[in-house]
Amino acid sequence: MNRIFHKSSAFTIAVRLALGLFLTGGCSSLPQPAEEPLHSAHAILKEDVDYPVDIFDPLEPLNRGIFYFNAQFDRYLYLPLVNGYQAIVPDFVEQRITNFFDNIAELSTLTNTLLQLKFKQTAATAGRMTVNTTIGLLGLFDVATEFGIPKYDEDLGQTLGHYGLGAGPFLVLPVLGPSNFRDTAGLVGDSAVFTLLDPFNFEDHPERMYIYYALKALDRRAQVDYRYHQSGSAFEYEWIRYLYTQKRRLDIRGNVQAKTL
Amino acid sequence: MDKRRIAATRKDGLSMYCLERRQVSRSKIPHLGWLLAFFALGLFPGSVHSAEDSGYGFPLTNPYAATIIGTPESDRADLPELPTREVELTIFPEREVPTIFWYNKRLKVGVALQKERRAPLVFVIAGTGAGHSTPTGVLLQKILYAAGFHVISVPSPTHPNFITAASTSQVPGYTESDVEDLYRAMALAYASVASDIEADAIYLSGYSLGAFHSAFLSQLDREQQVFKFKKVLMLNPPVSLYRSSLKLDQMLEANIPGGMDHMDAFMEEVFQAFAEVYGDSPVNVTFGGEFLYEVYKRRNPADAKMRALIGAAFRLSAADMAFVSDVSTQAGYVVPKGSHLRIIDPLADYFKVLNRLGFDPYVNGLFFPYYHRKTGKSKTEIMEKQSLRAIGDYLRSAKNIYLLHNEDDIIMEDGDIDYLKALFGKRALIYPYGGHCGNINYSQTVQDIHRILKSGE
Repeated sequence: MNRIFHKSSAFTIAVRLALGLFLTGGCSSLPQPAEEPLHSAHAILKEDVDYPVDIFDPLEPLNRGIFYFNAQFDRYLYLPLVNGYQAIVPDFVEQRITNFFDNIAELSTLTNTLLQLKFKQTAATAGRMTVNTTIGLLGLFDVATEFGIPKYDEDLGQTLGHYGLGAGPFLVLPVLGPSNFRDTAGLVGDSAVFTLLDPFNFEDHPERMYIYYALKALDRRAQVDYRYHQSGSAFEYEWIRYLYTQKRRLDIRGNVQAKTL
Repeated sequence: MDKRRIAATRKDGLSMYCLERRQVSRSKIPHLGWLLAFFALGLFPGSVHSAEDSGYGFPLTNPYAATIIGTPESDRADLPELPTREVELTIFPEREVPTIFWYNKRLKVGVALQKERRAPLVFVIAGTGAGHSTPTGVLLQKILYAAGFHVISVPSPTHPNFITAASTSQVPGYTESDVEDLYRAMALAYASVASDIEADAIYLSGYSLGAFHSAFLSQLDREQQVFKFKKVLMLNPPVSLYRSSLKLDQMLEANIPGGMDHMDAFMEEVFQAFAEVYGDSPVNVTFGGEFLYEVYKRRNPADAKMRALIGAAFRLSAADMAFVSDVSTQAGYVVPKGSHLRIIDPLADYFKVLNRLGFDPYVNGLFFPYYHRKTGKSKTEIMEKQSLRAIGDYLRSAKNIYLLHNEDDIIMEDGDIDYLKALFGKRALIYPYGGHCGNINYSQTVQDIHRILKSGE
């Protein structure tokens, strides 16, 4: 545009100005609103329909920002470290580490099945932990599964949901990913239980704590195939939000089948 | 295209090492490649005659079941693990990518190389809306890798990554320009691995829309002579892109229980079923069509529901495609012109609107206005170019192009299979069953593919 102006003679500039005035003369001087798209939301969408993708997310801009941060963190720091870990550590050892942390995680299943009064599950979990910690050498070997003892998965978030607490606003936690108010409270609670019990005596041996959490961070991420934006979809945030929320509903309900498809 | 300007940037430092997805045994389902389906009312063979009559052992005679489930475990060929690496290519260094598509700035291709440097190379072009790592594509890659090829896998021009990173027009569906974009991307991909391999011959393959593109790529290569494809292997292409897509769109609308007014309730059911699948295998998270196929395995819905599911898969894919195209070209289709969407901006409304609209509105509201402005042609003229019939003479005379298809492929219109038989003659291998790409890793199919590739060496 600038180039045209520089090359134009004073005459053509004058003509342009005149035309401009002529054309806008009758219009108001207020700025025009943004042009409506061909298909706008208020024309297409219905007021009375509950769209499945609409999850309660009052902190959405913040969450989306953290989602973006997580994607970068994953790509530039977390995954390279995990890849390094997997490259250096022999598969056999990796599997032992995974079993070890899986065994510790059963602690939260133990306490929460108890809180939910699911005593059969508590007993099974106690059995698993005992077998794996003893015969399985501190959880390095998952002997309990070989013995056929079923594995459950409960946490404080599910317990709170079991007793009727709603999910609350959707949350994206730094590094940890999708969550919500209730499940985050659950995470904090479950961690507190572990910290209080302190089975490895981190209080007296803080270096153990660093190794423990470092290995755990690497192992837990290695277990999850998810790669941010691998789908390439522009709506990945909406998908993750929906799937996470629905998954938790199913977890709490005990995976009851939804309506017939 | 100037061969000397091939300047691939192989981002070793940033290339992401794809962890080979752990194949949960029940999720070995081929992806439809966002199939372009023709809903032939009552014309699919169903259980008209058993597989044994024709001497073909593929067990699934319902084409929808075959399409969705794929080959049952006991009938599959034994295929090797793929040592795939993801390589990121910068195709347009000067391009300003909208902020919200930052993750698609570079084209992501899959590379699986043989241990020996010297081996033939094959390009695999993905189906509709698919990237390089979509399950059906991976099956084809494994088959080719097992035959001794270096494999480079390229996303479909209808995939958001391709639209953002590799498409000049950023309005997918116009075959002539999609194929030029593919050719450029393939050249850059080749350049990125050229120092690691010695390709004694270059082949081309693709499934569904990728097979369709392969036909046009072969013709382009005959002029440009960059690759000089030794053989081209097409699996289950559509004949008419537009007509197939339209029918697929209608598949959803015609099969929602209670009609279109109940679409949102139906989508809720679909999404809930997704969540069940996700709940069981959160480590295997992918979105869209693949979930639908898991859903089928669990719920075993009737044919009508299956068609609706397939239509829904296509629509979700079309939504992704239309959104990226709209924002990238500021077309004002569902996003107001001049919007500069930020990463923190909610997008759910656009998702909802696009799911409501589907494929035909994309053609009428975005695709056609764009290409009409560019070429001056009418809609009929433009749509007729997007068909294998437009290059029929070439396909008939090209002795190095082979076709695999199925009589009961649900994307084919009346007369399409017969047309292809006449066109390809002895170079066509048409099985009686398999649906759309359902029998790709069936043991006989794999044997036949290997035989075709090795013959006349």
